[in-house]
Amino acid sequence: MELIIYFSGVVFWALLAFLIRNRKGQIPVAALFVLWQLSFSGYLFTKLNTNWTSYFKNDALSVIFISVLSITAIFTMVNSFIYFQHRNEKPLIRSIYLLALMLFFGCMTGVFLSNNAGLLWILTEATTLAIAVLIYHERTIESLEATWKYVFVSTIGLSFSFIGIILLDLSLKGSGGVDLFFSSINHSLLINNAILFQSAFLLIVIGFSIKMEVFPLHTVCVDANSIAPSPISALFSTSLANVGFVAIFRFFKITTYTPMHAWASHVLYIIGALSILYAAIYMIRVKNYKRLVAYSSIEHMGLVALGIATGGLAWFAVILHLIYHSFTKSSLFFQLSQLIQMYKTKKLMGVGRYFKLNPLGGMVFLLAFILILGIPPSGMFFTELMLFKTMIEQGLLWLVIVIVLLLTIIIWIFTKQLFRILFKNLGQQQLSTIQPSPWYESIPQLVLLLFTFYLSIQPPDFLILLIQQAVLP
Amino acid sequence: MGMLFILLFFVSLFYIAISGRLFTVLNLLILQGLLLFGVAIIELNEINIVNLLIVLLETLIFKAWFMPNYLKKVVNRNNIKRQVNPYISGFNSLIIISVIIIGNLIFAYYIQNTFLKPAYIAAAFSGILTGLFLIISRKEILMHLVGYVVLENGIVLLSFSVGKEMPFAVNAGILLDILISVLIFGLFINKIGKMFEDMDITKLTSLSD
Repeated sequence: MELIIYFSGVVFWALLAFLIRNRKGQIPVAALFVLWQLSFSGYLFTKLNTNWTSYFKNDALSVIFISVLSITAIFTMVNSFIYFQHRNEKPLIRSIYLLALMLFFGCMTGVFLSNNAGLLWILTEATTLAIAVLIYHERTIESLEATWKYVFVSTIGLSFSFIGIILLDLSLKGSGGVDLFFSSINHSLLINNAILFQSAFLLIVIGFSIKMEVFPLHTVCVDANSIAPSPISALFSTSLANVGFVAIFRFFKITTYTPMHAWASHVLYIIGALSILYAAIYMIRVKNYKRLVAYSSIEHMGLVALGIATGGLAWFAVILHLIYHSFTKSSLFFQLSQLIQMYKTKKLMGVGRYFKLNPLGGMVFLLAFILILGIPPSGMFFTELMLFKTMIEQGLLWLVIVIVLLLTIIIWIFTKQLFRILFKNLGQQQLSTIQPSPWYESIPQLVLLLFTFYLSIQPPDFLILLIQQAVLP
Repeated sequence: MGMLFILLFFVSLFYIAISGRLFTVLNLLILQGLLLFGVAIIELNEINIVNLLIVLLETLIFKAWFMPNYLKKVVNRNNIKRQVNPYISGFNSLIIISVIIIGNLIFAYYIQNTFLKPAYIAAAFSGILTGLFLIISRKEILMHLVGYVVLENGIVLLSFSVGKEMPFAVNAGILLDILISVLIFGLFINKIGKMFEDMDITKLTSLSD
């Protein structure tokens, strides 16, 4: 019942925002929608571990990620309106954006709550529909290309997952895998066909890798990320990546009940390591700062994939890591939106002296970079440390060394480009054309970053308890 | 009867791979839609009537009528009749498709399972792989769409073959089909057709580092 109310609310606000074409009129609707989303996630906190039919379940994992999603929603809405203000679009296009954005939030909430493999898959597919409209928002040839590639690859990838889910069900038939309801799966599964099971898991991981932005289907994500409006990129590489994580994590949990556990871990180790390798290699030659940040998402999700594979304490670490990553990466993207606005280019060559032109924005950048690179006191430093420690305990010292070397390369490139953005000198002629964006537009990002700092230094007890519950086998 | 349909499905895969004329390819898609309709009637007689009706409508109207005809309209409007030299020629394509089909037949018999009929599994996976092969070996976006439809047909066939045990899979498969096809066909072919006149994927290369 509660779910019906929530989803019909989402549809209602979305339609309302679509029908009101006036920007001033849309602001209260967007605010009410965010309030709706926040109050729903607050409600979920009070109703932990409730079942709505057998298809939806509210477990600790879903509560964590829905809360992260709702907090990001506040800032996404604020930044979307800042973005509109600078662009003067046609009212219809703006309405379509808001409609798609609200439905996108609804779909993602649904994915986090779904307790059935098939339902999870359908809702993930639905997020593709919504995000496609959002990526295409600017209506340029590049955005068309990015959308086309994303939709095409994403659909094919998700068709793979669908095949994987069918095969998984077949391979678990008669062994306690009750029609793939996650919460009712038997903790000691027998597999009646190992090859079917292995191909099923591979197909599922390949398919959802496009949502989680890890190897092998991550390339189109970088394209889409660099082209989409920045508030959307923020969601794209945080909340949507969390959707992919939740999907892969839930399926991986099934493998831990079977004799195939070690094999599945190896698959994810390979995927994680290759993602980080890919990110490091491509970052070296990157020329576009939005792509640089997009590659950083791939690196972080690669770390998360390693964490899923490692198990134990690493599961705890990666969920915490994802929370920090979501907030930091989204504020970074929000700030990039202003950078594009100011310099009118996404090329690294054309930017510089940001600290001078916009001191508060420069501070936001500096803070965000400290957090995202995992420099203490960033929370990501501790989660990465925890992850590496668990990996070393499992005898994977060599892999940790390789990963740390790759991370060093990434930190070097990031720092180099950060200094270029903040301090590089620009020619007089170039400087005269630049209109610095007003300082108050950086306030939302600053708030979000300070909140992340607070979470890093002192994660609240209830959050720790929730994560502990979420990683229970 | 079911076996005959499967056999025809295999033949249609061969024919799609070698055919250079776009209209022939689209007619073959109509044939595949009809074959799926037939398979659904034979295989899915045990699931409940509403589900069955949806499946039959989907295969007959959506797959065998709406989609191919829509693509034909696009072909006519853009005045493209033949494929421009694909990356892999017709004869080599034929060899690759044969390898795919034989490989899948071996795979299907190898994974013997009480819930699966080997011929159906082989046909489904051949469809999926042929679709992928078309996508990577052809240059026109239109042929990519055809490849995608063939891939989808394979998936629908797979979900039919397990439909008695998992009615849910059939519904989900069809949902996938309709949702995405509407998006891809309705929204993008129009836009892409307008922006890139000859709809060649070599035009889509502006995004890179």
